[in-house]
Amino acid sequence: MKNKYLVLAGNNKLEKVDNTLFLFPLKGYCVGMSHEYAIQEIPKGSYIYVNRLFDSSLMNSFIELYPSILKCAQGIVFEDLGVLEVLKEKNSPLKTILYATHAVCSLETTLAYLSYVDSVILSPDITLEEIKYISSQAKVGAVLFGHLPLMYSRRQLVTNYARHFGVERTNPFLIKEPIHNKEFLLVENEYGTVLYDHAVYNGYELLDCPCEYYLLNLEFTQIEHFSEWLKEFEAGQYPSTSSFFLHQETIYRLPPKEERHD
Amino acid sequence: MIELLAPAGDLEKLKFAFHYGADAVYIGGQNFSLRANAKNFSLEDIKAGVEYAHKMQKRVYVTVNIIFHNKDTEGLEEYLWELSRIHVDAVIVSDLFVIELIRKQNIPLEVHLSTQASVLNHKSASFYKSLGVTRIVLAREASREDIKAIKESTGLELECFVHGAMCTSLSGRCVLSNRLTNRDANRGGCAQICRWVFEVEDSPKFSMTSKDLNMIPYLEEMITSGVNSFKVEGRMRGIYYIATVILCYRRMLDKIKDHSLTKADEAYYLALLNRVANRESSPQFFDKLPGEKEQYFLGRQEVSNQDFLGLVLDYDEKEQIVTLEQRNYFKVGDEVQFFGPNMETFSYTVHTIWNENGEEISIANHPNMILKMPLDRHVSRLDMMRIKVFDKESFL
Repeated sequence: MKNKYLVLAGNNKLEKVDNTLFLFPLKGYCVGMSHEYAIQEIPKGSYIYVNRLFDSSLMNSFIELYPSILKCAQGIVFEDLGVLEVLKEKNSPLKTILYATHAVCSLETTLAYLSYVDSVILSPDITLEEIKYISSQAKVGAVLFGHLPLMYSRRQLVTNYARHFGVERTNPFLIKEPIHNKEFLLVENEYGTVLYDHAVYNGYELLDCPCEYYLLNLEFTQIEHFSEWLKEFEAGQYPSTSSFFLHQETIYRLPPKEERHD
Repeated sequence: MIELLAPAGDLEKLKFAFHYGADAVYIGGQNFSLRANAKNFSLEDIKAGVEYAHKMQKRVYVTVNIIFHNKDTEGLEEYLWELSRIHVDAVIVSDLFVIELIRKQNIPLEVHLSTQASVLNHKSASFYKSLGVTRIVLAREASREDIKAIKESTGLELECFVHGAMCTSLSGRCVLSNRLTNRDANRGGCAQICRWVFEVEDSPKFSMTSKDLNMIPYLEEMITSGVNSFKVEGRMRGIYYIATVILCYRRMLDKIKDHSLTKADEAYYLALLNRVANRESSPQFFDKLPGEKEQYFLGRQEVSNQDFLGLVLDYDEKEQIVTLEQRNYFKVGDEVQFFGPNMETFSYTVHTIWNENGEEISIANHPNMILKMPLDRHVSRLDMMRIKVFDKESFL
């Protein structure tokens, strides 16, 4: 990866900045996006982004669309491993980046995937130490900024709720978990619902890791002057909203009952 | 091959699952498996379970389906070798690293891909087939068209959930539990946040809880679509739930085989299944995208099922006396039912109860107390007594 940043721009009209590469969410193949692009709208030499888990019908559509993808894209960021199988069968020249949102959490898993793809973006669910260790042993990308996706459902959760109660449906739709006082954004389209944390993840500390590149997810974040924003961010001047799991290791197994305080 | 696949949280549940008609069970070891906080199986237990199963020509699959973090990988390879030496029938795996480890080290283990990988299409299935996976546990979101396409394209064995709780999320794609409770959902710590209630400003409270899955109306179509293994969810469930659910599905699959399954049968079994789970259920994604009717919204409370009254320990044919281990409160005058794998369910009115000392009592209110009752119909060890729930005749 020649560029330092992969950028999901969302609805922001961002100017091109050195060392950045915009990802183009492909219309019909994504969930949880504010803006998607028809294949004809995607500039030549781009990286396309497809984050849906494909059903068999969508997979057939993807195979049909492949010649058009090849005309405009130089690379693809994806989650469904069926995409990889198609590209292998086509002997495709596309660069492949796997972003399997929650599935790449160890060095061994990273290396296993790297046998099949050009690059892997690590799950943002692991700690700074884990990312440091993996990125020192393998060429990987890491998520640096944005609303983190915490759940992907095939259901239309907001539509179902709105129909049940006869209330207005907004998109995104804001909900709050009252015990921990945390808010979440639900973003829905006909293919499912993604639940994002409303708090913005700031992984500024990852810039010290030997990651090959970083993903900036600017979906649902308003940015007017990208170059200035990026300068501020790189200088550590962007408000540190939440580091999520970077300093909060998750629990594999609960301690024995007698040692619990809950 | 058509297989009824049951969950088993421990050795006792494994034996009940087989006794009530399962062809195979899936279990978790004490490491590397989801349901990390369940009792689970030690290696000795796994060995005992496999030997028990193989004597009955039945199968045991072991879940090794967490998403690994760096420090979790220690001891994995030796564990997999040990499972191969125990002759488990397959491991159920999610993390690509485990699949690659088994392949590269030539560990003689059959590999089934966990539903955690959420496979929904034929190309994804082909990818895993090329790595040596022999069976795919499909995503619960798979439609009939997806199932057919995957079968026709790959010829792989397909395993589908037919009954039990549903995640709101696609499996493996949720870390809500990580965020709110710090318990890692993809390493077995899911705190089921999707069953919580959320606030919405100036609107009713928000819920995204799914009703349970049941595939009763589509079992026959699943068979013709190429599904090989019919999987019941619930490694944390008790023996009464396992016995009831497995027996219902065993009877339905057997009736499909001899072309005798009726709509009345289906209605009866559905009523039993919904009651034992205390939840409503539906086929969910098989025939359509689930809508509001397939979800719970507000005002629902989980109530534990107390239908299970006693476990049959012995039956004295000569004296016509059944010995029971009590499981829930019952009393003289109660209408009860006996059921088991080798009998037709029958109803009975309790008129006499003796305690362990042979004294007549009117109520059975101590958990696990040993009781005797006169009973003029034959029952067998490990049959069960429950409160009278439904008469099959009323569904005819």
